[in-house]
Amino acid sequence: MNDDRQSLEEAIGALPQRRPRPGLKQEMLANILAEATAAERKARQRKRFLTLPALGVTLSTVGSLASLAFLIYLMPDAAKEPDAGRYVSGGSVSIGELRKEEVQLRKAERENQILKQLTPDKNGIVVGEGVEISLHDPHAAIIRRGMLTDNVPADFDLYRLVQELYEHGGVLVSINGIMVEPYTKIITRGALTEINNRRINSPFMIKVIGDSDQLYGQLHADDSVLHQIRNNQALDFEVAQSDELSIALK
Amino acid sequence: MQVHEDRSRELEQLFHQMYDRYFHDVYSFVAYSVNRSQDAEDLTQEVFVKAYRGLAGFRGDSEVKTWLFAIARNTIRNWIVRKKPLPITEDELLWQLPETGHSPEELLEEKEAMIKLQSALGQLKDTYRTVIVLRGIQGFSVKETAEVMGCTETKVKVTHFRALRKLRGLLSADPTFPVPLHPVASKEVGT
Repeated sequence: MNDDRQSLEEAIGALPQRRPRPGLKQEMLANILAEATAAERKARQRKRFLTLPALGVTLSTVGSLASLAFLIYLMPDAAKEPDAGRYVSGGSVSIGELRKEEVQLRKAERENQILKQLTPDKNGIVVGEGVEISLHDPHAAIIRRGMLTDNVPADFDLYRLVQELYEHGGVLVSINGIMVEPYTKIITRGALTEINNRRINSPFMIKVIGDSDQLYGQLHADDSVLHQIRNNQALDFEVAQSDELSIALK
Repeated sequence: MQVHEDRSRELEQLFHQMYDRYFHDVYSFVAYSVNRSQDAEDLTQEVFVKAYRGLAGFRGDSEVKTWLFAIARNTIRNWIVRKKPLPITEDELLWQLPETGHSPEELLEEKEAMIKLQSALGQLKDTYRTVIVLRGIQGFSVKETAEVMGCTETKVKVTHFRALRKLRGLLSADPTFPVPLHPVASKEVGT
C-alpha cells in the first residue's frame, strides 16, 4: 500500500504547472493596478463620507442640548399653564421627567421629519410617493374553516408581480411590512407564502415607493401581472395612489 | 507627504517583484482548484488585487509566498461557496499539457494518465484538492501548507493522507489508469 502511495505521489509530482495563456501576465498586471487604484479611491471616498455624518451627529447633539437648555429657561412661564405643573416640584424640575420629555421631543421631531419626507434612509425608513396594493386571497377564508392547505390552489405569482413593480417605476417594495428586493426569494405553496423564510398570509398589503403615476398605469393595464393573477386565481385587489408611503428597510 | 510617497513607491516596487515571482505559481494553484481557465484568470486577478491592497498591512509574520497563497486559498474557498465550480472539459486539459520528447504513443499514454489524474483531482473535495496541489504540485512543506490553510501541521498530514487515499480509491477503480494501484477497501474510502 505504501508503494501505491509513493507511485501516486510521483504521478502527482509529474503533473505540470497549469500555464496561463500567453500575454495574460502583462494584461492582468494593468487590470490589477487599475482595479486596486479604483478600489482604494472608493475606500477613501467612503471614509470621507463616513466622517461627515459623524460631524453632523455631533452638531445635532449640540443643537438638541441647546434647545433643551432653552426649554428649561422657558419653564417658569410654561408653568403658568394648567397642565404644566407636573414639571415643577417644589420649585425644582425633576431630571427624570426632563429626560422623558427630551425623548418625546426627539421622537416627535423624527416623526415630523418623516412626514416632511426629510428623513434620510439611514434611519431605517424610506418615505415617498407610490402605490399601495391590497391583494386578498379568498381561499385564506376557506383555510380558516379547516380545509387542508394542499387542496387550495393559491400558487399565484407574487414574485412576478414584484418584478413588474420594479420594472415599471418601483424603487422599493414591501409586502406585509417585509422589504422585498427584485430577486428576493418568494415561495408560494398552497396558501402558505414565504418571503426570505418568513411566512405571510393573505391579505397581502403591498407598498411600492416610486413613480406613482407610472405604477398605477401599469397595474391597471390589461396585460399586467396583477390582472393575470386576478383572472387566473380569482383574487380581489385594490390599488391606491399615495403621496406618503413609508417602508422600513429591514 | 514625501515619506508617504516614498512608502507608496516602495510598496509598489515590492508588489511588482512579488507579481513577477509568483504569478505563475498562483495561477497554477488557482487553476488546479477551480479547473476552468476563465475562472482561474478572474480569481488570480482578485488575489493580486487583494494582495496589492493588503501589502501595506503585511506585518511579515510569515513568508510573502505563504501570505500570498493564503489569500489565494481564501479567495478560492469563498468563490467555491459563492458559485459551484463547473467541471473541466477535456479540450481545456489537452492544450495545457506540455509536449515532451517521447514517441506519439508514449505521449498519448502520458496525456491520458494526466487527464485521468486531473479529473480525479477535480472530484475531490476542496480541502483534499488544496492539500494535494500545495504539497504535491507546488512543493510546499507541511509547515508552509499549514500556514496557507490556517491549520496545524498535524491536520495537514492527516488531510494529506486521507486525500491521497481518496484519490487512490478513485483511480484504482479505473483499469485504464497506467499507474497500477491496489483497490482500496470500501471502509477506507469514505472520508
